[in-house]
Amino acid sequence: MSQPRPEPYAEARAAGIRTRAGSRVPAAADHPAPGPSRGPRRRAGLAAAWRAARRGLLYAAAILVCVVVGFPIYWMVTSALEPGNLFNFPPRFFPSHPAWTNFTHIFTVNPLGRWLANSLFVAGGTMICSLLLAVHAAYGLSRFRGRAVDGLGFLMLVGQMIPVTVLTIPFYVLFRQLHLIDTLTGIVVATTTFSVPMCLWMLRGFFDGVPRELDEAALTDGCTRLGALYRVILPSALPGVVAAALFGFMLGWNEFFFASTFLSTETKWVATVGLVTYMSQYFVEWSALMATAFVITIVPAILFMVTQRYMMAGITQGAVKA
Amino acid sequence: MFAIAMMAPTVLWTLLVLVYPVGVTLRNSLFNVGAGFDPHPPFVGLGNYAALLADPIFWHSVRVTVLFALGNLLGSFGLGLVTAMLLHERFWGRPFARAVLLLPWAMPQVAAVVVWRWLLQVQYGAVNYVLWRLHLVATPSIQWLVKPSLGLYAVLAATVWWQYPIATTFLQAGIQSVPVDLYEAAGIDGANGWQRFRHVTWPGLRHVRNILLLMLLFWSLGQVIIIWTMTAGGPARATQTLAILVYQRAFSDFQFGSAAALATIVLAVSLSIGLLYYRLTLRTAQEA
Repeated sequence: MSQPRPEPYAEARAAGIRTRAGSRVPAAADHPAPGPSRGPRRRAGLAAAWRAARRGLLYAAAILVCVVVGFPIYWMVTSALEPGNLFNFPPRFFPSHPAWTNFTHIFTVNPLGRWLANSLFVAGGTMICSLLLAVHAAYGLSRFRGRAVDGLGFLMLVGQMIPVTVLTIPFYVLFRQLHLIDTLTGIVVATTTFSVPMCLWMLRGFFDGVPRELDEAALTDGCTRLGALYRVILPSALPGVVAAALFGFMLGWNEFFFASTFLSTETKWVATVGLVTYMSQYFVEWSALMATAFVITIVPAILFMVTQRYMMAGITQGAVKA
Repeated sequence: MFAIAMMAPTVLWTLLVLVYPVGVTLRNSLFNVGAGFDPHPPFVGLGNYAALLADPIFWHSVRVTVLFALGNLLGSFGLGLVTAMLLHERFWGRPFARAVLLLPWAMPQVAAVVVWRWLLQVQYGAVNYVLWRLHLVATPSIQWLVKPSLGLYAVLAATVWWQYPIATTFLQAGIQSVPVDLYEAAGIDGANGWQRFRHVTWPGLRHVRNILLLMLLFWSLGQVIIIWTMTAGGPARATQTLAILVYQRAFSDFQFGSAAALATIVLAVSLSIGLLYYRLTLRTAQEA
C-alpha cells in the first residue's frame, strides 16, 4: 500500500538522511565516552531511567487494556465453570467449585448437539458456496480490467453493505417461491449472499500478490486459463484461500437473523438461534447460558487463532485496495 | 471475454439474490402491501414514503441511528487506535496480548451479547458491582437494559467491544506502513512521543483512517444482531435504529409496504456511502 507522502515531515526526512550521512552527534548520550566529565554519564543514567519508566508504563498499559478487554471472556469461562445459578453478591471473581457439570447439562436440556450439527452444515455450506463463486470472480477481477469488470466489482462491494434486515422481506418472498423456507439450504443461500463479496475482495488481494509471469508460464506450458488458476495460482495463494474459506465459515457459523426468521422447526435451528431462545426464557440460568456461549464460541475462536495473520491481512488488503 | 465468463456464475448469483430482492423491495415500496401477501396490492405511489417522512417514529429512528453510528465510530476507532499503538511496541508477551485483544471479534455476536447481558445484569452483574466498588455510581443495581436513557450505552458497549478488533487490525497495518526512517528523523529532531504521533503516525494513517471510518459507518448502519438480541430496539425505542425499524415494520407490524419504503431509504444511504468509499479507494489506486 503506497501512501501519498504528507508534506510536514518531508523536511525532517531530509534532515534525517543528512544527519545519518554526517556525524552521529545525538547518539553521544547512548554511549557515554569514558572521561572525567560527569555530565554525559548522568545524562546516560537519566536516559536509562526514562527508558525503564517508559517500559514500565508500556507494560502497565498493556496489562490494563488486556484485563479490561479480556474480562468479558474471562467472565464467560469462569461463570461457565461454576455450577448453580450464580446469584451471588458480591460476584465471585474466581470460581469456588469449578466443575464441568454445566457442559453436560446444556446438552440434555436443549438439543444443542443437533443445533451445533446444523450450524456446522450452514457454516460448511456457506464456506463451499462462497469459495466456489468468489475464487473465479476474484481471479477475473485480479487479472483483467475494464468497464464491465469494474462495474461488477462495485456491485459486489455494495452487496456487502446492505443491512441484512433490508433483504429479509424479499428473501422471504423469494424463498417461498423456491420452497426454501424452514430449510438449512435456504440459510446457506442467504448467508452466501453476504459472504461472497468479502471473500471476493480478500481473494483478489491475495491473487494480486501472485506474479502474472506464473499465469503466462502455465499458459505456455499448455494449461488452459482455468487450469492455470487451479494448478498454479490457487496453490500459490493458498494462505489467502484458506483465510477466505474460514471467513465464509465464520460468517455461516455466526448467522442469526435469517435463521431466526426462516427456521420454525426446533430441530432445524442453528446454535445461535438456540442460544438466544434459551436466553429469553422466563427463568434464566446464567451458568448454563455461559457454558452454551462458550461451546458456540470455541469453534470459530480456534479457527481464527490458527489463521488470524492471513485472515486479518486479507480483510485489510481487501478493504484498503480498490 | 474470459473475465466475463469467470465472473458469470457470481453475477447470476448476485442477480438472483441481490438485484432481484432489491427490485422487489422497490416495487413493494410503491404498494400498500399488508400481511397476507395479496398478489394485487393497491398502488399508493409515493404514499409510503410520505407517510414515513411525516412519522415521528421514523425521525426518532434516524436520530438513534446517527447516535449509534457516532458512538460506534468513536468507540471502535479510539479503542482500535490505542490497542494498535500498543501492539506496535515490542514487549514480552505481545503474541498473547494480540490474541486476547483480537478475540472478541472471533466470537459469534450472539455469544458476545449473552455475555454482556450477564455482565450488565441488574442484581448480580459484574459491571454494576465494579462500578459501585469504584464509587463511580451510587447504587449497585443500575438497570442498563431497562432504563431508556441507558439502553443505547449498553448496546454500544457490547458493539464496540465486539467491533474494535477490526479497527485494531486496520490501524496496525496502517502504522506498519509508515516508513521507519520518518520516526528516526523525528527522533533526531528531538520530537517527543506525542509529537511523533501527531506529526508522523497520524498523517501517515490518513488513507487507512478514512477507509476504516467509512467501513465502521457501514457496519454501524448494518448492525442488527447485537441490537436485536440485546434490546430488540427497546427499551421504549431507545435503540431502534433504522435497520431494526425495517424488520419490526415488516415482521411485527406486518406493514410490508412501509417496510419496503424504509428499506429503500436505507439502501439509498448505504449506496451513497458506497460510492464515496469507491471513489476514495479508486483515487488511491490511481495515485499508486
